[in-house]
Amino acid sequence: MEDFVNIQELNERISRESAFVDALTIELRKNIVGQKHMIESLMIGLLSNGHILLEGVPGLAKTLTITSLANAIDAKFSRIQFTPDLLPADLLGTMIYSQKTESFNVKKGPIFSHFILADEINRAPAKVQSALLEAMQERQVTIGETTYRLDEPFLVMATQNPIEQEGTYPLPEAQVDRFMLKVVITYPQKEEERLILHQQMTGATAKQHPILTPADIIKARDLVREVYMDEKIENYITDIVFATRFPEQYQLSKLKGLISYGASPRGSINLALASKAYAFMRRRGYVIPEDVRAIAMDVLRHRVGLTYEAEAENVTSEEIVNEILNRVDVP
Amino acid sequence: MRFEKMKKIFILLIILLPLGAKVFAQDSLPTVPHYSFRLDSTTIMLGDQTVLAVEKGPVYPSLDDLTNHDVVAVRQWMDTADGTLYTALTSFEEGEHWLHIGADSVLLTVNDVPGVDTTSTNIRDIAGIMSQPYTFGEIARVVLFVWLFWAVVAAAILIYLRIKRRKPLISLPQAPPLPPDTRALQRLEELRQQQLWQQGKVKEYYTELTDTVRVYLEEACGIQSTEMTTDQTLDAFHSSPASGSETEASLRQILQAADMVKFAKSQPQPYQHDLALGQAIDFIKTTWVALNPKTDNPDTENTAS
Repeated sequence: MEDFVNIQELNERISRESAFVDALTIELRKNIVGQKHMIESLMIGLLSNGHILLEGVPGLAKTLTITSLANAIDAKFSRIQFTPDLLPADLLGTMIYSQKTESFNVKKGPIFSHFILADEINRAPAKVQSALLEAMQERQVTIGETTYRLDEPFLVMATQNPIEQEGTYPLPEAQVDRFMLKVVITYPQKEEERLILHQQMTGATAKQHPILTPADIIKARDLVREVYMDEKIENYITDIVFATRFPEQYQLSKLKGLISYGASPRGSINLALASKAYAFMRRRGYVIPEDVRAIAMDVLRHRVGLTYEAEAENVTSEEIVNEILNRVDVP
Repeated sequence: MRFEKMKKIFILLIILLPLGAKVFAQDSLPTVPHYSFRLDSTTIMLGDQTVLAVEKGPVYPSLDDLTNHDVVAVRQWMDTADGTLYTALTSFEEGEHWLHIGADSVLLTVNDVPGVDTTSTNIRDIAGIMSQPYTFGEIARVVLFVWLFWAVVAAAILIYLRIKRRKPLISLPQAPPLPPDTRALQRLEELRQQQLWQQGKVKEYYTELTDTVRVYLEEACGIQSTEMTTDQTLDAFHSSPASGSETEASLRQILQAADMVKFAKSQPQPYQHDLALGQAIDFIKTTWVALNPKTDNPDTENTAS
């Protein structure tokens, strides 16, 4: 009975504390038309302390979205355009010799911000990608002999352009795995497109005001971790992840030849965390299968490796994840 | 005088003795018989055969009499109907050979095979194998073999598949499956009898309850509910022919209440457990009638309580 009271209390607390989600969404929607899924994914990443890899053609309001988020949270924002000649020091910072003081001073790079937009991450060589991804994982940067903690919240939203292959350095699987979500964004609907046009032509963009502080986000993150996840949901997540590794055990033998590798344990952890964040955004203190289903695609699509056979047959990782979600029994 | 007479007789005997011997000798020589015979051909090629037919007689000429160094008998047979003895003769010696058949003789002329002048003719290859038309027997044998072969292959595949699917090689006829509603109602009755929530197993109780409803939806309405979330199930049921405002509300209540127990540690009041079971039974009965309007199902009436 005590557990029941705790859940009820948690549910009420989360319902109360998660009210800012709606406010934040409204604030972001002031200037962003459509792209509901991208905004939602951004919030999930923010609340579950994960990073986001965005894939989509240019001009879909990626920069505007993360700028708006930074403005709404009163946080520091940096946009880094990845190019082939970018160096790790351009990103992380470096030691600069000061003739005046006759000593080396630290010049921090753009990574020292709350929100980073790493634009076209696959245009930079591996050493720069590696530096960014290490910072994402460790949440700290070492310059010279000093290690600096990165500001919290720290959210990286990296973009990849799927239509250009020449002069790019595709992210290795191990590095892609560090992104909690891979979100594929598409063109806006016709009506949305018309609204965007109208907004831009009339200059009717609303001024944004900070409604949250970074401390609020850190507090919300703690609350997200408290969201109750039943053993049944944990089993459901485990089943989904295992189905990506051993599809034949889930009556999905036809996928066996199409998957070269399945999701890692980091995938399971991220699926659980993102499910909690999704439940939090729905103002619930517990996770239900709908939450898992809602974010499973974004968590798993970049964690399922395809074989040559799958590529030859034009089978995508999205199709495989869909097949798995439709096959694994829901508790 | 007597001596003289005896002397004359003695001399006469001496003179006549050789004569008597001669006469006796003539009487002891064998008599050579005559046969009635015919020869197919008196002229043959080297190695060819000609048949000598000797008509029935008291005796027949022996093979030794018929053949000699140059003429040989290939085979001999008897026509038992008229007693004619046939002998196939051949010769591998060119020339004329006398055949002695009893007291008679016949000349058999054997000609050599004319030689081939290889200088005036072209050398040709060995003639190919001549094709003969197939007989029904030959075709039937091949067809039978092919049929037999494919029958064996099919049987082997069938056995392999049944072993692989872990099915018995020979399946005995089984009773027809019960309709989905009957099965679901039976499961719910079993659930009631298990008294799970009375033992504190509330989560198991609601899990079994919703599983029964989900399986029923799958079997009766074709909604793959076991692989769907509550919202997906409700969406799918909305477009089902069994759907109605009351049944939709009932299903929503059953699934959402169960979700609260399963995922949010909700502890409904004891009366709510029976209420949920009753709702599930009503839902199954109502939707089954909606799906089968003309079905008068006595089983349903008996099982549901």
